Amino acid sequence: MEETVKNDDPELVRSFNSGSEAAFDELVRKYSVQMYNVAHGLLGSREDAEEVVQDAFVKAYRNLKTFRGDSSFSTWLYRIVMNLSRNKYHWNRRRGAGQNISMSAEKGFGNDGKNQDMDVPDISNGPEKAIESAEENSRIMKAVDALPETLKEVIILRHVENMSYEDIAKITEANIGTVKSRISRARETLSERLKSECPVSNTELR
Amino acid sequence: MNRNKNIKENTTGCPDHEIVCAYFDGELPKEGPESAHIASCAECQSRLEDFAKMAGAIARNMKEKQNADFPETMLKKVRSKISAEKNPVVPFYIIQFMKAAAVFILIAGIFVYIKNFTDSNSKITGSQPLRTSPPASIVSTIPQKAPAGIAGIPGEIEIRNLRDVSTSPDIRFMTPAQKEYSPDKPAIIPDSVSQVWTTDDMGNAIAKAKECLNKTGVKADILKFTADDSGTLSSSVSLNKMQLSTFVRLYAKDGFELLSPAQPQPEQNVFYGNADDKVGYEIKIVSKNR
Repeated sequence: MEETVKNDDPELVRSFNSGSEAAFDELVRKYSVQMYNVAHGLLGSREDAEEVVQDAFVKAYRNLKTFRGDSSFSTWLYRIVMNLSRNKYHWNRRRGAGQNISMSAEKGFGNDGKNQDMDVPDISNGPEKAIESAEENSRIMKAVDALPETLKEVIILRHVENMSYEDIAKITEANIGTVKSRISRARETLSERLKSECPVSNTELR
Repeated sequence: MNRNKNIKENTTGCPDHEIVCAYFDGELPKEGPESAHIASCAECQSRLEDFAKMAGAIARNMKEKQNADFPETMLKKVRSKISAEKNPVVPFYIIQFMKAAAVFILIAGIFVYIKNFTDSNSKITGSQPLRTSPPASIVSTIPQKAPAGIAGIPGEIEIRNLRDVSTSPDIRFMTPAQKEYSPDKPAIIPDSVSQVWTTDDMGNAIAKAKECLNKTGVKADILKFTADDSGTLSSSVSLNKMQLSTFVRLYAKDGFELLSPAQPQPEQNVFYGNADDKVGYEIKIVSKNR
């Protein structure tokens, strides 16, 4: 995580708690993209992800005075985002909207086969290869989306935020062994789903 | 820590899936035996390629490309929410509802005020008693015994802002529970009552007394009156509270004047207890010309 590079978070938190609103603004600027990426990965909806991140910052604003610094600010903030995302995810599922707003449905190639807003496929290797690549991406994303919540969380933190097992353990409040096991199971599950969904591509993705 | 303990080889002799994952994520020491195996095993390398493909797809697709101004936009939205929390704006429909509620309460208040005012006037003009009740200070000196079954009645009559006399002409008896909801102030008739009456027509005093008692249902024909040296006529009779209060009214109506402050008084028509409660009544009649 960014703490290893330069961590001015404790100073910003101290400034905010001393009355500096600008310090909080700086924290929002610093973490909004990261938090958004995690929320978006978990929820698969731009609107939901934005709402969750906004609420997370509001919650942080309200509770920063009680932040004891046992963990880093970013870990604390990630936890808030994760919790709010979980709540939102379950809320959406209860409303029966989970499937409609899933990542795979929203982004890339949906059921209608139209490319909605995915990055334009790289056609430098030829259009057929590009389509194959895009289709495979779409399949992978659908499989990620279908992962159990705990597995999805670790795989997103690992690949979207490029976090170490240790950081993931802090954020998910699990031990490193559990994180390791979850990541392994997540990859195993993804492989199996992709194989069963598209046996032809087994040669490429075992 | 001995990494060898964690090696769970599968049937092909390759390390367990979890260990290959850790290797892929850079969480396995490079100098360990598993790392050496993975680095040189075609099967493991193939798995690593699969992981890389998945990781690439996830990272590419889940990391949305944000505009450069995304953090600023987010900040504005967050600030807006914080501001809204600090200064909550009451929705328009709630304001309208509160206005309507205020008007309703105002109208209801006016209505209640007018109703109370009207009731008060009707008491003064419509049913004004011939004579006011004895002052509370006098009434409170009457030996009081709370009627049986009336709990919580103090020894003295509670002085409240109640009507002394009911606007109803009928004699009524009420329980403590009924009293709570009544605007009337009930009087207490003790178990034994002694009253002195005065008249300038002593010749008819006994006959009228018996007549009035008979009207209440008391068999008064055999009632004996005695006269003392001063000419005061006295007698005792047992009757119930309804009969006594009715007698007092009738006797007063016939021109006899009650001198005693003891209840029941002629103009009092609301009492505690039950109409059937027994009362020992001593009547004395004195001449005005004495």
